[in-house]
Amino acid sequence: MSLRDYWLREGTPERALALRFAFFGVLALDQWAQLAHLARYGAGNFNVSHLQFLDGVIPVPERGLMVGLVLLQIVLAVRCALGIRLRLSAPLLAGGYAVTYFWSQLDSYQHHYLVVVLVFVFGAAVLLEPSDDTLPPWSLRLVRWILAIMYLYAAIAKMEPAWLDGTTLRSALSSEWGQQAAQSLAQAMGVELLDVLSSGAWAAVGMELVLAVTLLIPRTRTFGWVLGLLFHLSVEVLEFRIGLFSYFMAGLYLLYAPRGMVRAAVRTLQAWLPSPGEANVGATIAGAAVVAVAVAWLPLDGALGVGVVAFLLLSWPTLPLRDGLAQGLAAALLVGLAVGTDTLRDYYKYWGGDTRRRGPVDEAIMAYEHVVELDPAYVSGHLRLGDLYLRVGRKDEARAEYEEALIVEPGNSAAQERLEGLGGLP
Amino acid sequence: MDRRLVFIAVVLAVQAVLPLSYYASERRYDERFAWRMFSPIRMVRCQLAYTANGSEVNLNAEFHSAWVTLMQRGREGVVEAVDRRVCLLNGGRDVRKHYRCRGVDGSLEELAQGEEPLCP
Repeated sequence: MSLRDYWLREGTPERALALRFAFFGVLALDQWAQLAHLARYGAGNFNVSHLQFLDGVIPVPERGLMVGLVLLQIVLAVRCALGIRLRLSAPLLAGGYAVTYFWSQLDSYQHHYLVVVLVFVFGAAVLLEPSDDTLPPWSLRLVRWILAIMYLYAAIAKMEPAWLDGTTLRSALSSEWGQQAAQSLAQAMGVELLDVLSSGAWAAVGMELVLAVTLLIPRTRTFGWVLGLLFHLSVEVLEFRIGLFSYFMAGLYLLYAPRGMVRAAVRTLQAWLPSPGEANVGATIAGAAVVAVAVAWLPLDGALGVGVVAFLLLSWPTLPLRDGLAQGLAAALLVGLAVGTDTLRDYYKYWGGDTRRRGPVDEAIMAYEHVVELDPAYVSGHLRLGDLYLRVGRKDEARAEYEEALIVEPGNSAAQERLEGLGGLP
Repeated sequence: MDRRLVFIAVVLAVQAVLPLSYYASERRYDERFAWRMFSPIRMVRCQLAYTANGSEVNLNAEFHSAWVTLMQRGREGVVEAVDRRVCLLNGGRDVRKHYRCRGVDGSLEELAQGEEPLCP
């Protein structure tokens, strides 16, 4: 088989569809989780980019701009997951993601670097391919090779005494139950804890080397699929601090799942979906409007502007009925995440936490006022806000916050002590 | 030649070669783009402190805690940028840098002990 035949041969369309849905779906969720940390951008007017030769030439990233970019990326990722105008959505997402990642070393997560590479590959692939709105089979093969290279280097990085003797694993194993499990295993085997961890360290290197090879060879791919899923599942179960990396990998492992299984799953899913239907201006505009309103409704800097941009972006070109309405899913996702997660509260909490230490205090007060507004049951928020009010001499408001903390959690000793310091409990 | 094949070749070449730049570099604590997840270097903990005319510079009052975390991991590019910022904030004063990193195996590396003035 020539190189051309190897790379450009036909693939399994269902696999491309499943991977697209899983990868971009997890990306949308991951970007939402990132929102909580965006207040750090621009803090103290200090930044170091990943491309340091540009520092001094490019400006320090602004918090509001980063929020806007990430919100747009969430919308675009949902569009990519659903396969809506992939030739427009994927390149835009790739560009936006690259800007937000490379602009600052504040985001140095390895899995985000992997995402940068993969969205670049997918974004470029849909532009290079004559056909529209599907991930070309060769882009999936390329991702398999990229993952093989990643596993190989990950194994090489661990081939040193401090990893192989288990000391690094002992530091990395942060969860209490994981440590206890390793300790229990050591006791049961009658060996030292470090011996157990060293065995785990050697096993990790071995598995990464095996995965680098088996996932590339069609005949061993199913074995690698099972092994790799177990490997990433165990990393997640042991609670290593790696964000959504395991979930990304679980999605990417659709590249290796048995073909029959993928086909059956996708066909079952497709049977539930309505047919795309004719191009429909009303559905397109309605879907775009719902997304725009959902974005603009979020209590974040620049959300209104992002909502307008989202509307303009999503209302062109006209989509088939199903896709137009499916855009509403982006809105449902945003609203669901806003209501069902602590991300928005945490955005203001982290912002307030930073400005509480570094000032200005007015900004910290504003941030914590948002915290307690978004999550009135958050006791620490009331305590912090009360402390900040006290710092600027607003005693009555401080007392009210401490009292609120006691209403939420009767008997809270920190709130009681603070109230006593203000002249006794009410 | 098919431009798709050119694209594939370029991506694979970059992915294969870029991680090697880490091993060729003297920047031991900068593991970006090298696929070194959970490496022993990731567990290094550094202590970085500056004095200006003998008084300690409060880094937590100047930098977001996320930057302080990157300093504590020894990220060279960040520490260099912090050097420049501390000099800028303390223009005309005698700034000294104290910087040491401890590996996960307990090994200690003294990188700066404040012998020389930091700022030009």
